[in-house]
Amino acid sequence: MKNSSAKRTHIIEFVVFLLILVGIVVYLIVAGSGKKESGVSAEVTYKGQVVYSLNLNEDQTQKVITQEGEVVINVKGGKIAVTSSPCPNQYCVGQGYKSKAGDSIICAHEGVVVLIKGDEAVEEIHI
Amino acid sequence: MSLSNKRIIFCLTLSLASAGLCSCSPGITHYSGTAYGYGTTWDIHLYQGSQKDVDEIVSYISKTSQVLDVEKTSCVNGVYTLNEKGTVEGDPFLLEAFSLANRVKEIAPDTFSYSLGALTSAWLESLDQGKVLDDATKLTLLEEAKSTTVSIAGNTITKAGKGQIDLGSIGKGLCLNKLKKTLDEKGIKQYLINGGSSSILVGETPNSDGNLKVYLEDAKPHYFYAKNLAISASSVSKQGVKIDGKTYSHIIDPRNGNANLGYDALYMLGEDAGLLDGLTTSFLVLGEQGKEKLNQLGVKYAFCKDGKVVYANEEFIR
Repeated sequence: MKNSSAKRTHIIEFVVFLLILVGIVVYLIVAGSGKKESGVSAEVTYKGQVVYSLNLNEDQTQKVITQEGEVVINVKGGKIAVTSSPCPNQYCVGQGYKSKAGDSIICAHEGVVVLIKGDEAVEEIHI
Repeated sequence: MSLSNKRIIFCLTLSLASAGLCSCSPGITHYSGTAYGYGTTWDIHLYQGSQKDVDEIVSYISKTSQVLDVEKTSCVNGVYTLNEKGTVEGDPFLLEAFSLANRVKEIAPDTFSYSLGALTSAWLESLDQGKVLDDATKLTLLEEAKSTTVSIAGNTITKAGKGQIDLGSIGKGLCLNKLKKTLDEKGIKQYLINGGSSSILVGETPNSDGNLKVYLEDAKPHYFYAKNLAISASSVSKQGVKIDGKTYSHIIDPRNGNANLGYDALYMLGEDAGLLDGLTTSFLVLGEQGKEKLNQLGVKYAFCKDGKVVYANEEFIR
């Protein structure tokens, strides 16, 4: 009877330890994946004034009216891009979709800047 | 209570403590802000200090930008007033800007000028219309710039000549120098201040080795690691306009007034953000002839053209 009780206790202890171990492993995996560099929002400025603060988790298209026309900004699948601009060199459009915190898309000609913000530390930039 | 039960309770307590520790595990400290100044948007990240420190940085960028602005601002002792009236009781930041500009001019006497404001404006206006600036206007404005001098006596700055002063090529770098001094005084070591991707101050990042990975847009997919240094970039590809196969930009060659250069971009790494800011502009104009001088100055650099690094003095890119 005593041996049976001791055996039961050992099993419970083993299960509890196993749960702790699994919990820690799961946490480390989740925490590791949480260290994403993806941005969570993007601030769009026109000549220094913030015109939009866009949630990158919501697909949307916004326009900034500049002196020469419209700069079209598209958010899709957590990424953001300038998809159309009246600027002559189209460098901003050529940048494509970006998603990393700290990244920016600058349309110097039109005075429009898209700056991606995130909660995590910026670990890389593009210059 | 039996010993076994105590052990079970101990295990459960340990389990709960672990769970609590995990859920309460503190993230990194991260204060951020956006500033507008020197014609661009700045991205500020502090991993130490406080949000107040960020706000002070934002305010400083805005304030000093107005001092060097060629357009009218609330600042009455800056570049605008100097250009309008020919003389000004200079703001301390303006006096420091001239001091730095003269240092750059000593290093690159032929390819650095701070009196090209009118010529630069004329070029940009012409490029906006998809045209190359006509030779007559170009040569007239160039001559005016060349014959313009600036003298400083105490705090009084006096301009002689029709050329318009434009200190935009060193403004962001000087601002970063001042910000670095403030951050050092406050003991803030982990930060990133990005002035429109062309003037950047990198402290340490909170990751294990403290390095920031920096990709070069003009030479993809090259990158280098940065920590505790200033980065400066002058690029014509980002702001250039292509006309008849040639790229024209906001960077003017003070020798001939032309706005088309041989290279697409010049990147520099070093300690003095202000000096680098001026050097990238002037040595992008000078091209490979300037390599030896840059080596003497101990500056790390990379010239880029057609999406590739064509000259670099250090293996800092991969």
